[in-house]
Amino acid sequence: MTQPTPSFVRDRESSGFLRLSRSVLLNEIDFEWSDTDLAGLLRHQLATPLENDLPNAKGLCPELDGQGMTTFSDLFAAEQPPRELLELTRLYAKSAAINRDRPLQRDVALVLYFAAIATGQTRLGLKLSSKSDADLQRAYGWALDRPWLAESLVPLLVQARG
Amino acid sequence: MTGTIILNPPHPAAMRTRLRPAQRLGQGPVVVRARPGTGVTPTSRKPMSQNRGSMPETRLSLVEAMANPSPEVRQAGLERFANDYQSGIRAYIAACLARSAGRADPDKIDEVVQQFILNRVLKNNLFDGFDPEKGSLRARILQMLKWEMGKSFRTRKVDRQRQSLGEDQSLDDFAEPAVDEAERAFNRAFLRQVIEQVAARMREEFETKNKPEVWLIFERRLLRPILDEAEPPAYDEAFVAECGLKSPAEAAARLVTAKRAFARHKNDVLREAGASPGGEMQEVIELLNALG
Repeated sequence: MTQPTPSFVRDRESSGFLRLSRSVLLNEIDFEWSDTDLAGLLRHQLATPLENDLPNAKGLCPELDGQGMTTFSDLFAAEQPPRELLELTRLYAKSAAINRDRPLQRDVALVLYFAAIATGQTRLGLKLSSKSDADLQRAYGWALDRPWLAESLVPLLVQARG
Repeated sequence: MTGTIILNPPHPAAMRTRLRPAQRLGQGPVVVRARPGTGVTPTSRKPMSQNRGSMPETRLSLVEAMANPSPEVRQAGLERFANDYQSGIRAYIAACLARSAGRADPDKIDEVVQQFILNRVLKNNLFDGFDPEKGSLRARILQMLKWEMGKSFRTRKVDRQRQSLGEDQSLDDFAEPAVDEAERAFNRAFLRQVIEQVAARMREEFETKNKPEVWLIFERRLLRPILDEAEPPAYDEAFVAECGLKSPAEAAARLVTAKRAFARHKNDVLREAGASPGGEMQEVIELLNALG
């Protein structure tokens, strides 16, 4: 008959417990996001109402509802997205990516950032970033390489990359 | 023995625990947190709701409670001792006993745990001369365990050598302590206990503040995976719905709030369990280093 493994032996075999314990006890708590999580975060971000994350959105563009543009996804899909909203989105994403207490996971924030710039470039012919064209192409390429990138953003980023 | 504690604690006159003046003054209500399965019942804890608007709840550290003149407070201190350290003591002893037998008999473990608590905690007061400034209570208990188990081994080895009448199977119960393994088992059990206590306090705090959602996301994504040693649930539509999240930014905001609360409660729990005041992070580092 097989004896049950003593608990202290089981404990020793489990490194996940120690790894997570170390992070919480040293105040280095952070979620470890898998690709599945990142895909879920980006989907959720794209489905989030603009007004939720950009409180000034309606003040800048009172006609938002009339245009059926309520979420970030709607904004990136619009034929004529308001420039102010794209700029606001870009600034929000940039701030989120560099903020120590990040309101967004960094890579998700960067995808949002480049999507806002790509939308301005492809729909309005605007350059919302001071980065060089080569840098932007590399950035779009980086975003397209993310395995968790939302399918809805692929055509936009491909077009922007040229 | 598991889950049953204990018995007339010694009077502080018999104890020479060195406390700083501020600690001697801290004779507020003792809070004893019960852990499921320990059989320990909270004694004098008030619900948080009763404390709203008044002074913050004061919790004596274990060392302060054991130096208190009130028998009730010392009894509560012992219950707290059981809450904080009994699982670690048991894990240490189980590891020592299992080394020779391959598997430790639960009754034998309980018996040795009982002996240790009677001999070391009650008779030869564990807290006697203890100075939290010189090291944590956890380290002291570990030192006592090493000594006690080493002594048991040596005594029985000598007895065995004196007997020339062949093998006595009962003497095989004790093997020389496998120090690293037993120490890890003790520290690991203590670590788990700390995290469980912090989790319980966080949950209570956010439920009292009517912000259960802060607790929920922290518990689902981080604490439960630690305690269950399992993968966290994916951040998907079901998770978003369960936690009532409006956006990823809201999830992050809740996390930040929860992280700060965790750090605060963690320091409280460690200090109350015998880390020196202000030395909580040092205790964490020593604990993690000991675990490798």
